[in-house]
Amino acid sequence: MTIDLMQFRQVFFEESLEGLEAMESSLLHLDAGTTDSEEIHTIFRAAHSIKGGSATFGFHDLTSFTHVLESLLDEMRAGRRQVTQPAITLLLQAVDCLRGMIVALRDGVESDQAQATHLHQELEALWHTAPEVRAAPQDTTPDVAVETTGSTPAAGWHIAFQPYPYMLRSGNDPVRLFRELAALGSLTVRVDMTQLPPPR
Amino acid sequence: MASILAVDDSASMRQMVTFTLKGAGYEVVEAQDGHEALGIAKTKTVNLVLTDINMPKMDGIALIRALRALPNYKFTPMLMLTTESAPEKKQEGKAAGATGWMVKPFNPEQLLATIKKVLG
Repeated sequence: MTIDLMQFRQVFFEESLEGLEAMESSLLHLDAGTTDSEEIHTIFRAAHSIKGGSATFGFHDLTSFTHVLESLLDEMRAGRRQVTQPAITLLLQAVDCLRGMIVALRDGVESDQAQATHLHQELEALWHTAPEVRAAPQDTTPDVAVETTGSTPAAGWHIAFQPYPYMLRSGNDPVRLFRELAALGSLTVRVDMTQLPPPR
Repeated sequence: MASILAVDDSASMRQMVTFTLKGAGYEVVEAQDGHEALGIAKTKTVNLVLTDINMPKMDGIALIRALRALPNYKFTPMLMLTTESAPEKKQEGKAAGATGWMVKPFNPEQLLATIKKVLG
């Protein structure tokens, strides 16, 4: 089954050009040294939407260009990277370049590749200059503890599954996992009720 | 048929999500930010919430947190659409009560498969 999304390209072009307008006007209002202003959030969202949409439509040049832009802006909005005048100038050039790329895609003509490559490199260079603070490592613990005990493939798998007590509170349900597993082969489920509190 | 609240500030993304979901027979209600979505959710109970993260007024994480506090949305599946560049946002979403997340670029087949799993 293939769902054709190409009919939505035109809306994406229009919305991206509007986003670039907002981005440009916010950049012009942005002062060097600003942190956590609504302006930075607006600029970030515009770049972020263009990146998301371009990836969906397979506009890879646009995706990789906005990816580095988004990474820089993400650090700025989180207060981890300073908003400097040279950065603002570079971002304004990036807006012009993006506008050119989108208009070219819309009209089915070639865009200025040399300019895009050059700006992309400048943005990459800025990105590689270390920001003030890097993000702390995150907790990647899953919601459930799963233990698999040794067995040969021929004998199948024995899975001890122990959800955390708050599993249902995130809209999850162990039944869905059993259903997924059952779709992969034959499944036998045994319930361990020893941890169940006595009925009141 | 199940009803889905689709929240995204991007008009093209909303149109694509709605097109995909309606094509599969779901009833879809759209909102363009968390604030609007919360207002809709209070007047109409939906079976699933699908939300973008970065939005003006109220972002997707604040929306999930606010919805989870409502009695009607305690156990409702809530899915986030994220980008691969924001892993820490997944953790924030999880802490707010998100059921799961899907990574953009938007893939209609994957969206339908995931929704079918959680609405089962």
